[in-house]
Amino acid sequence: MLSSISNYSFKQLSSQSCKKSKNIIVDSFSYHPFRGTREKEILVQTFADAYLGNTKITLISDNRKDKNSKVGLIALSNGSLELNGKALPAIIIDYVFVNYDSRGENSNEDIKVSQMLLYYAIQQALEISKIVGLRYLILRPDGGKENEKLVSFYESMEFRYMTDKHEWMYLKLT
Amino acid sequence: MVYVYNEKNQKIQLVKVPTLKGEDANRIENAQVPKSFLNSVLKMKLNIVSA
Repeated sequence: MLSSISNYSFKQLSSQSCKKSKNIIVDSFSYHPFRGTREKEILVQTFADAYLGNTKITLISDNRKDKNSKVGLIALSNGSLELNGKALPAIIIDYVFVNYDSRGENSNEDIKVSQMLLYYAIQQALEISKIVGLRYLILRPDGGKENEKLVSFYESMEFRYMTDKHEWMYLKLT
Repeated sequence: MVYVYNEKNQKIQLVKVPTLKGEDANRIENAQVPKSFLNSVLKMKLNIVSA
């Protein structure tokens, strides 16, 4: 069955539920056979940060599957991008995680989970920019420039490298 | 709070957003906003449920 965005739902986690449900959520995901250890380590750290209020986690679930069909998450935090001595307001995409079984290469879906998570981040950032000054959405692709597939995915979502020597990418919002 | 995996000591570490000056900073500050893309994303109906 082909998927569309309407098949998925996004649920923002409170800091308390990040503490309570951390192990259940982290253990419910499947991980890359080689990079799984580091993926899990970053995920555990992200939940610890979310409990402290340093980042906000939103889960994405596939509504067509059973109740616990979490297929990924995104973590967003408040930050800034310093350009010529000015700290310009930005939202940082701290982490994008997609369940291994739901990743592009393992899925027949017509829209990727990572794509939907990015759409979510962009939409939320644009909403925030209506009431709070916000100029950029920024991220650092996992694995850096060598992860060409991931980089070209972000480029398709209009993110651009800040410089040739830095690993960070930006999307200008306003 | 972005983390990367340090292959040498096999630990995750926090990375900071770079500070940019000069041409690099000007280029980012003067970059075009991809308006049509952002508008298309805004129109998407995402099913966001409250926690």
